[in-house]
Amino acid sequence: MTAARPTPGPGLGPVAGEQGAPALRIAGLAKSFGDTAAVSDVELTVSSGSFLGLVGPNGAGKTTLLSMAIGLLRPDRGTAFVLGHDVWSKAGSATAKQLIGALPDGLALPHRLTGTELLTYIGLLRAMPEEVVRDRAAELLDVLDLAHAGRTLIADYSTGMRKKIGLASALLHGPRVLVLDEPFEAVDPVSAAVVRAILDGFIAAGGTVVMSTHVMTLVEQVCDHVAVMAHGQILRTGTLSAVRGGQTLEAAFAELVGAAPARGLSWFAS
Amino acid sequence: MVRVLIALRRTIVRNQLARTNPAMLLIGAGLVLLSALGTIWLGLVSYPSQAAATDVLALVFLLWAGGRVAQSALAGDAVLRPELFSLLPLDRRRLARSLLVVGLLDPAGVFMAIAFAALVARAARLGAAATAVAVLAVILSLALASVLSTIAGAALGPGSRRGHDVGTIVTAVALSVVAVAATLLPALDTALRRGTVPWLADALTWLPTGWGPVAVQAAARGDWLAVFGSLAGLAVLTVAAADWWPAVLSRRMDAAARPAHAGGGRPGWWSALPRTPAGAVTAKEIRMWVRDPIRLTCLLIAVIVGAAVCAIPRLTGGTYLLLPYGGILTAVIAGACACNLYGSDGTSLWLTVMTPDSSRADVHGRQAAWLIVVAPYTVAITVAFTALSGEHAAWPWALAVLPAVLGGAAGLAPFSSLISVQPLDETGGPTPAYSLKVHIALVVVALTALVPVAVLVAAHVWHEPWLSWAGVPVGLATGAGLTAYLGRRAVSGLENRQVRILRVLADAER
Repeated sequence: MTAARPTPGPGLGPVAGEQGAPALRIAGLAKSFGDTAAVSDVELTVSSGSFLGLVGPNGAGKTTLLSMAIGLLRPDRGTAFVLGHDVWSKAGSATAKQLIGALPDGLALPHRLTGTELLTYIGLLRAMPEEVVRDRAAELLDVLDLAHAGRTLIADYSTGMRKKIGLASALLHGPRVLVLDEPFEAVDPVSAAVVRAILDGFIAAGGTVVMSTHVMTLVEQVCDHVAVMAHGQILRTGTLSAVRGGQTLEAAFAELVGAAPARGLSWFAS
Repeated sequence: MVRVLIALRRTIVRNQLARTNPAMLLIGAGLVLLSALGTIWLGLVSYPSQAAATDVLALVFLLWAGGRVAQSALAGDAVLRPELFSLLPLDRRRLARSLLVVGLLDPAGVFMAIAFAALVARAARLGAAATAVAVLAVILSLALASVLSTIAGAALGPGSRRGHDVGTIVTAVALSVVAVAATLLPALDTALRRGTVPWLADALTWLPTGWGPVAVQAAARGDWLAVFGSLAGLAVLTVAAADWWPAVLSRRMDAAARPAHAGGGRPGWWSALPRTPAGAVTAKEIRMWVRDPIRLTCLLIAVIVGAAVCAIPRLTGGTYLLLPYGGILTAVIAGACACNLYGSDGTSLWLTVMTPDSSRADVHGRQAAWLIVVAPYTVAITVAFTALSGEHAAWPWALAVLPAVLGGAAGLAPFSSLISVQPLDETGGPTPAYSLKVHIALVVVALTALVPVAVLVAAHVWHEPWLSWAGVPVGLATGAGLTAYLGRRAVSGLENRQVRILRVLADAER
């Protein structure tokens, strides 16, 4: 993969990565649950400044792979490097986590906090100055159209609102690499446009985004790189045009994962 | 439909049990069974009078039925939640009837039936007619308790967030009353046998849970009008409750979850907390203690049980002996409430995992929050009750043990929360294993007072008053030492085990 924009912009965090190191390098990550191999010795490199879409059918191992890559799930083998810092080593893990902004799928946020309280909690927990936390939290809530819900408990947020507050939490500390698991799931079209604008700005400022999704058209619209995953393995990775190979991403994806042609229900015809 | 619902319930329960620790399940079921068998024993022993037997049996009927209804209100029907059916084109009245029948077949009913058999055992001494009346009374009482628990589960159990929160807190008071009465059962049993608390005996027999024992007593003396009145009363109440049930169910199924707003827009008093990582955790944790109904319920129970258990002997037995220790008992129970913080917070632990070097702030923030929430009122209860008791000799005991327990509990809160983490169940309520952990924690928190208690006992044995006052700094030092030492252990435990604990919590939520 090519390095697109290696220089971080002013909005990104102060922690530097190793010179020339890829934004994310997954080195032989593997995980089994019982007899089932969820992820099998995956290798993947994501250059700085790129927007990678990780696509795959349900149960392909995308969430497991991303969880291991950011330090939320201990791998059986292998490791991951964020801008050269080993996520699973004692020496590198703190810096790696400072560089990552994460939106995991299926993990909760403190339900009994409001959006404002959550962002304040996360910012201060990261030892950020209070004024910076206050200003960034207010802007994030405003831009993500959550300001009106500033006093509503997260427990009463819709799924889309939870995704948005999760994204705000991931962005608050100015990470260099965003790892987002299904960020557009249940997000309404207007908010989706806002999220895309935020992510475009993040990339333009030198950040890197890794995003898992099921929506091929979304990947074609926003990503410049794609990795196709099935049965715990990366089947193909590269630039969007290279992976598509002259057809739509959906057709290329179906061909790669060996999907059977879609069928209708027999009783509809009777 | 009943058969379909029973099959559905069986399947869901089987899947739930597959994820439950079998040892915990067996211990829990064993304890309830033991209590039920113990209740039968109350029907077999001799009483000074038939009225005393009626009062005691009315009390245990109240405890069992009250406990069952309160448990339902707290947890709701964890299996057949009404929301499951809200999108299905079912006739609501038929669904209500079917759920009522399924409720009658609840396993909790079996334990209650065993306990209620105490009335039949008692009636067997009084002749065949009394026995027949007892069987009828037990059936009607079981039916009434079952219908009421089904209604309580839907009306107050987890549905909309607001309904759940209010229901939980209302239930906390009811549960606490039942728990206090259960703890004081031997004392109350004695008082009822001797007839020293006539107002309590009257109240127990006026409540519907007392009508069964009253009917049996009436049958024994041949007062068939009273028998008929009591049994008819139970039947009418059961039918009325069953008639009300479809409306309750319908309201629950139609209720849209309305957003629950946090307090006012003004910054809370916790804005005075330092704007540091530990301060952020402290502010978050204080909000959790105030807003999370499970945590708040536990603290309410701590106050009610702690203060009441020590104050009731004054009311029933005329002794001030326990009064100075109400605050200490409250602190012990509130300490046990904090034994599973990571389990009750669930997978939001990932925020700590993803924040570098946050373990120290997380542990110290949780300790500070617990102390800020619990210490003021336990100190106030201790000072007020000790002063009220007039027991001057109790001052060094109260002042030495309280800081040790407060400090010990603040140390144990994060430390024990990392051991055998118990996730919440699917409805966000505590599992039986969680409750068992709280009960074990009660004992462990109480043990933190061992050192100052040893000093106080030595002072008592050697008749050295100065030594008993020396227990106060010993208690303070013990508390401070335990907070610091166990806190340090918890920091390294959290650093080393956080990813593993997150996995346990994530697997439970799947």
